[in-house]
Amino acid sequence: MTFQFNTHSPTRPAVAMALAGASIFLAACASFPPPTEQMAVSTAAVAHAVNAGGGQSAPAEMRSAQDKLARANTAMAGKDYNRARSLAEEAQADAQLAEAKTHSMQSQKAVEQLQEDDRVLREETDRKNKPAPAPRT
Amino acid sequence: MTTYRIIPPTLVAALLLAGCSTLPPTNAQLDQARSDYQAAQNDARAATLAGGEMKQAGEALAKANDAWTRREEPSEVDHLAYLARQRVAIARETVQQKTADQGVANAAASRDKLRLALRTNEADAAQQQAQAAQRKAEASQRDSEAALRQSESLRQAANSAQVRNGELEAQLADLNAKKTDRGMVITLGDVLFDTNQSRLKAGGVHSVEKLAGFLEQYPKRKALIEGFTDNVGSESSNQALSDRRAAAVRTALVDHGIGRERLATNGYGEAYPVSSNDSQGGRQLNRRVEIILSDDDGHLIPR
Repeated sequence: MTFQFNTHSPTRPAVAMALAGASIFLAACASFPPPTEQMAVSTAAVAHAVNAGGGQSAPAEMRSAQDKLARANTAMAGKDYNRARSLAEEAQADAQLAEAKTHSMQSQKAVEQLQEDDRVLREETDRKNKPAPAPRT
Repeated sequence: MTTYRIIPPTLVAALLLAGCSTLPPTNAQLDQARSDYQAAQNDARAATLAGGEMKQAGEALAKANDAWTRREEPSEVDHLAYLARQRVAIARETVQQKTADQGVANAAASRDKLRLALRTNEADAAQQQAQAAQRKAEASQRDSEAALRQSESLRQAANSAQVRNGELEAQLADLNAKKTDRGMVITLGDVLFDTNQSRLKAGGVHSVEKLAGFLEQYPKRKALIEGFTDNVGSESSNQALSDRRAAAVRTALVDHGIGRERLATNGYGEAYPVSSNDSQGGRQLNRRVEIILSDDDGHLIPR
């Protein structure tokens, strides 16, 4: 189906207004404010995760977080603020996941160590509970 | 023209209706985020152990859903869905961490219980050992008391033996006994016999009585009675005299109740002088009877 607007139709001013509104809206979209706060939050989250040992416990997440933070910084420099915000948010989420994994693994190790200790102690107890050989007199 | 004017609003309405009734194209990231969240919610521990994290995940997922429903750019929906998935993953890790922490607490409690049991056992064992040691000490004390009693009785026995030895020495001293290589020797001198006779004088009888008393008191001792003379007169008469004098002493002892089997006699005549026969004093010393006393076991050393 094809149709075309009559250039002399009374709807023309409304269309013009709508186009103007859309262009204003698009302009607004194109010029996001710089996500300064998000950048700071993400940078802190990545540093925190690194300090917690994320590099050893969750290397993939940690690498992803650092990579995205670096790309966010590049986007900031290029004034591509929407992209910078998006990357920074993902970097924060990745860093937080890396840290959560780190804590989780630490707790797992602790419980495994304790269970091993328990087992050793239990064996010792069992051995000591065995009747001792009668002392020679 | 009229038709053209009417059509656009109808078309817009149709498009709007279509927009309401049909869903936007599916988004793989969002689908994954939804199923991740659903899986996390199915874990009963999630609500209690990671309530905050689950709430954040739910909010992130709602944002992604909203963006999708509003048909925002697929890249923005992807981004928000990714954030939601990471939030779910964080919640899942938190659940694991909290579960492990509970395990740590439980293990610590169980270890404390085990340690307590172990110490109790050790304490019991130590107590048993202590009791055993005490029993042993008591037994050894009884032993040492017995040893003490034994040594006391031994000491008493030694004391009485010493007393007896003392008495013996006193009696032997009374008999003028002399200690020699052959044992105690009592010498009855010539003056105790009648001259050239074997009959004992009163003093000799008295000495023999004391000897008899001694032998009576020590019934295991034996006596060897030996007679000697000087060189005056014939050898045969001297031999005979020494025999007779020794026999006379034995007879006297037997008369006092000493068994004959304990008494041996021997005459040696002029042999074994104890002094020179050149003087009267020396000859007198040579005329004698010697009584050699055995030890307690009856051993005598013959000449």
